[in-house]
Amino acid sequence: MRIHTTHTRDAALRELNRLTRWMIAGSVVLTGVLSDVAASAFSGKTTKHSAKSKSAGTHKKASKTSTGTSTGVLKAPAQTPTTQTEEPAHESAPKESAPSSESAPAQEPAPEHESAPAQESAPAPEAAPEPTHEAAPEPAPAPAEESAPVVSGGS
Amino acid sequence: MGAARSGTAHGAAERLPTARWEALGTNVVLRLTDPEGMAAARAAVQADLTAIDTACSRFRADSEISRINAQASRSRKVSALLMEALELAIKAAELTDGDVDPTVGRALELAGYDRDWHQLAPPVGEPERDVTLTARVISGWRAVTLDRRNGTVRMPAGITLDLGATAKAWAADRAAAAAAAAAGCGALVSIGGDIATAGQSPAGGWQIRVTDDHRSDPSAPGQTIAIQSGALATSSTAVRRWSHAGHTMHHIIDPRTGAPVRDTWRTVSVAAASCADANIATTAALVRGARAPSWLAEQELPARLLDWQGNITTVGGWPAERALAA
Repeated sequence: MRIHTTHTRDAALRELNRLTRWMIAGSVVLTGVLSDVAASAFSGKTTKHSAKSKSAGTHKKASKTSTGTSTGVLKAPAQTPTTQTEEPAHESAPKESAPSSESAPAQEPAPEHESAPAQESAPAPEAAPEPTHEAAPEPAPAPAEESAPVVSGGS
Repeated sequence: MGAARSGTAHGAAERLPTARWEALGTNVVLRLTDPEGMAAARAAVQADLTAIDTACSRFRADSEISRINAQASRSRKVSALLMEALELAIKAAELTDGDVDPTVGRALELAGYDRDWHQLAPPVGEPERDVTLTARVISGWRAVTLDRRNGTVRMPAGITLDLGATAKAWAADRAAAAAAAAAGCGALVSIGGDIATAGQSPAGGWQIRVTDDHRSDPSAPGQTIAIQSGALATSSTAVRRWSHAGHTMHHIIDPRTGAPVRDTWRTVSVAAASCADANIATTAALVRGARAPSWLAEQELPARLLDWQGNITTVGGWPAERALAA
């Protein structure tokens, strides 16, 4: 009777051990499946702040999309722009400007005058050339050689 | 490099081969450091701009994005090119906390911007500082789902995508890279004043005049700077204005109100590694208003902000302006 009891106990322990292993394996699988379902069902939220936006105090929320070339920050140029030593002749009247707390204007004690809005060249839509949505094949004239700066402005 | 040097009113700038034409409803400037490669560079740029226009133009009924806008709420397969443009637009929204939102298309339509800008009624009289809309739509870029693996996009009905805040600058980045590769020299491409460069810059850098309107003469009020690489974009609420329902409108929409932004800044210029990043920053700055300088400084982006009183604010190492010697 005693031997039988020990044998029965050992068998039960082995069975319990096997059951426990199955439960652990099942839990791992179930956790993975549920995680996958949850990841597919809900948008994620990125809580990590990028180095350049650490003081912005706002989350960069991610949608379900991948953003491809997204680097998480707006990249500054390798070199900051430099100023030209000469300016067009008619833009010479100095006027008080309102530099921010940033360093650039502070280093320049006499910022250049920017004309009052009303004096600046107003857009003339009617004078604009007709839009050409399609880049139709055009005869390519010989390129002109220019030294004037390229204009960057609103469009 | 075959370009000769000459002193000019803008400094000792080189004379560089330059081609100009129109595409994407605006002006295109292609400037190279070597005239030999101009034909190949121009062909490469034109081909890329044509593909982008076909994919991304909201004003073409046959464009991919117009078809998506017409059939929102359904998952639609898109080309790899449009997927890239959409991913950039969503990236812009993420990086600006929604200040630059590609789903403002419906708000732009309600503001009267439902066709190419050149076909809109010009503003009457002096521009109003504030504009109003009686019907407004709150946009929501988070509702747009891009499935890159399957190449599909889905969004709720009622949303109209507009890639105006990112596509033109992105096109400039692509065009500059294509031109430099095709010509085998340094290249600058300006699309409506959004400027990207690639390859070796000319001596003294690429000369750029920042001003209100990209169609202005280089002597227009503003500042002339030089960049050695990267890109520069300028956005302005003073230029693309039109009349609608008795009000003067402009094209920079605040996604939180669905209305044109109240003008703290008249014109904002930003230099960045890419034109897309620069233009994202300029648009976000116009939307953010008074908070823009500190935000740009946090981004470490050189920027110049001009307000309606003519005051200039610079951040991020933007060069100070110098007056002419008397």
